[in-house]
Amino acid sequence: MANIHGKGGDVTFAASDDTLGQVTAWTYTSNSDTARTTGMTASFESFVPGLDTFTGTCEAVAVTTIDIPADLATSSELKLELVAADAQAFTADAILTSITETASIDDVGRLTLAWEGNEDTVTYPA
Amino acid sequence: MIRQTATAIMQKFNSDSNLQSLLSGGLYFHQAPQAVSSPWGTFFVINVSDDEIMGSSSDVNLRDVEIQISLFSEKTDGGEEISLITEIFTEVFDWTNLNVGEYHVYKVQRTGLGPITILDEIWQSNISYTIGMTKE
Repeated sequence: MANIHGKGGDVTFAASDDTLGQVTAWTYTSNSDTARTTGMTASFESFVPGLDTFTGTCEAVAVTTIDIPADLATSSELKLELVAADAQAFTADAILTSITETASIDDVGRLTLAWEGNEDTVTYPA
Repeated sequence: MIRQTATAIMQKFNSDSNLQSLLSGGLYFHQAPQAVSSPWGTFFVINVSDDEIMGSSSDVNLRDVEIQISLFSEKTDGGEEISLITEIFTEVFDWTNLNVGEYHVYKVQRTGLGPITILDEIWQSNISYTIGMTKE
């Protein structure tokens, strides 16, 4: 049975002035590249481990203001918190890779941010 | 919050003299009086749903309040009066500004306009709205 949820969570990106307001969700994903080593006469595909990276995303709403944390390609510390002001967080050096803003006729403004970085800099929740 | 929404709808209705004179029997929350005069209307809250924000108190959530308005007319005019009142009602309420207490209303979106029907010689028209609001 799951025992955590995101109600107490938060997202901070050190390059921005303050925490990102109105966050509704964030994601953290570890990735590992692989290289295919299969030969032409092989019956099965073979792989060797590659390099590790991570990606993070954040979804937020913009009720009265639009919070843009920093310029694209800005590198800074990203903190994805399960519980705000607590050690329960993913922390890493990250590069802001995309900012998506959505306006819809039947919804408030939505903001989606994405980061990418070296997996070796990640610290996991305590 | 339901009380504040109901109050805001009544305030909006009472602030539009044209709509008030057309819907001369009045607009009521849930139930009209026994001796109401035609035409009249009622409204009620269908549902309230919250879109939670991380790290905030429940008060600052995005909140959708769904309401339904029912308009009635006893006039034997082939539905002309109920059609006109329905049209004017939507003109007044579609995307209007409602003053819902300490809440900030960011949309008053019409989500339904049911067919005009007649039952026991009373014309009826149903309109539904979603009112989006937050405390921030």
